[in-house]
Amino acid sequence: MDVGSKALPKTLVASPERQYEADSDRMIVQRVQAGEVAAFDALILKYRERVYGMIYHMTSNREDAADLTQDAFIKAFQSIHRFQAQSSFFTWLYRIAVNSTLTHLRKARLRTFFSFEKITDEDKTAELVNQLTESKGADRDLFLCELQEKLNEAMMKLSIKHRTVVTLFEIEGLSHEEIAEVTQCSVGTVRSRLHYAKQLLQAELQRYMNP
Amino acid sequence: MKETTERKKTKITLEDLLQIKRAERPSPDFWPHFERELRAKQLAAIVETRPWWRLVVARKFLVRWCVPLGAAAMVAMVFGSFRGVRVPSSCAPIAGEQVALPEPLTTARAEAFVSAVQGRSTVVNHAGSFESLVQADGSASCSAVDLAQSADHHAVNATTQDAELIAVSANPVDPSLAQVIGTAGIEVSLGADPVAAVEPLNEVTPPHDSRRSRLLAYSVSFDPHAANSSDAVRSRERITHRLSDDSVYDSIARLALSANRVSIKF
Repeated sequence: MDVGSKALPKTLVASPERQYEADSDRMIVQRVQAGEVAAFDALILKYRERVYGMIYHMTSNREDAADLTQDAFIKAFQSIHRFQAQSSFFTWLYRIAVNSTLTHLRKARLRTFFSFEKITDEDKTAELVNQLTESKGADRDLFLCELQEKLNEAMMKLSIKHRTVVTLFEIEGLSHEEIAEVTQCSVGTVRSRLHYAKQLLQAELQRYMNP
Repeated sequence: MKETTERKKTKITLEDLLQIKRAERPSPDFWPHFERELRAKQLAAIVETRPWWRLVVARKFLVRWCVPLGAAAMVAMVFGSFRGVRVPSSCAPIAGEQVALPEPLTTARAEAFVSAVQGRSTVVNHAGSFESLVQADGSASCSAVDLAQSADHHAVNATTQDAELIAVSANPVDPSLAQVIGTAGIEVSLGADPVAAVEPLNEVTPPHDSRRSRLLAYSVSFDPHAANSSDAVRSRERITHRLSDDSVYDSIARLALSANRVSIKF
């Protein structure tokens, strides 16, 4: 089951689906804490694509994203005994992944290498790309490559904090409260950062948006 | 999905563009490779790693300091054990022999000793020539034993005094005592200040020097009152030529003197 392709609803507060997901995760975590180590594989299969996608959009490098995703799961496994269910396992895992990625980006601040994933030809995306292609009168594949590169460049121009909130909200579909819990800041800070990041992205991607 | 197909020439927003970015995903064959790498990292994480501080200590401290500290400890132990073997200066520092003075040697006792030696020399003369005794077994120890056994109370006293003589000859003595003993023609080795701490090894002289001198002191027959002391000199020279270093050393090694008895080893 491809969990990553399912677009999670963007809500300001945690939805019932999220609450149900959190309860099921808590049961699996209790089994892992009791000693059933193999139960952790279920959590890996459930969240690996979402964690990988988040880290990839923050780094724009597939190799780094793979390594950081693996490190995030290993850290979560090593510290699973300290998880006290004060938050959902999902936000707890995202927090580990975000912190690992932020540490990596701060260390590799001067080094920026793009390594893109292919854009899957989904219905929504295909329609949008076709529309853009027709409006520009360019070759579809070439335009798609150009658009992908431009999007990642615009994201990398954002600061790490602004890039994180844009990725979690616009791409991963987390709520403001969930983003505040993952990034360990207030909801107001999340909103202000999101607003500022969108303004910068619009300035960078103006030519791709219809006037 | 029908909505998307009917969507035409609508404004493209930033959210729409970011949806394109959401469509960036790895290929299906990416995940098996991902799982293998994750398993390998999980197994590596199971191995216990030493904390960083222990690595630092091991590399810097152990390599740099432990070897010199160990060597210093070994040297300190060697010196400590060496200093513990030190022999007090009050005991007779004769190698293989320890003869303790029964009481401090004073000038009066030295004079008594001299007279006893004179008496012993008389006993020697009465027991036979010293030369014959020496030639019989080739060692001077028999002469000393014969002296001890055949003599009367003078010889017994002389044996006791012999112990003192050994201690005197080996230990540093007062100059006044040395003068008294020296008038009797007895060789006495004067040492340094007895109070000062002297390493026993430094006081040990080659056997052919001190032991021979002591043996000569035993064996020489002299009469302090004699006008001519050339006889004593000739006797000493004769004995010197006849006695070898090994025999002298061997005789001394076999002979053990205590306070009131003499023991000899065969």
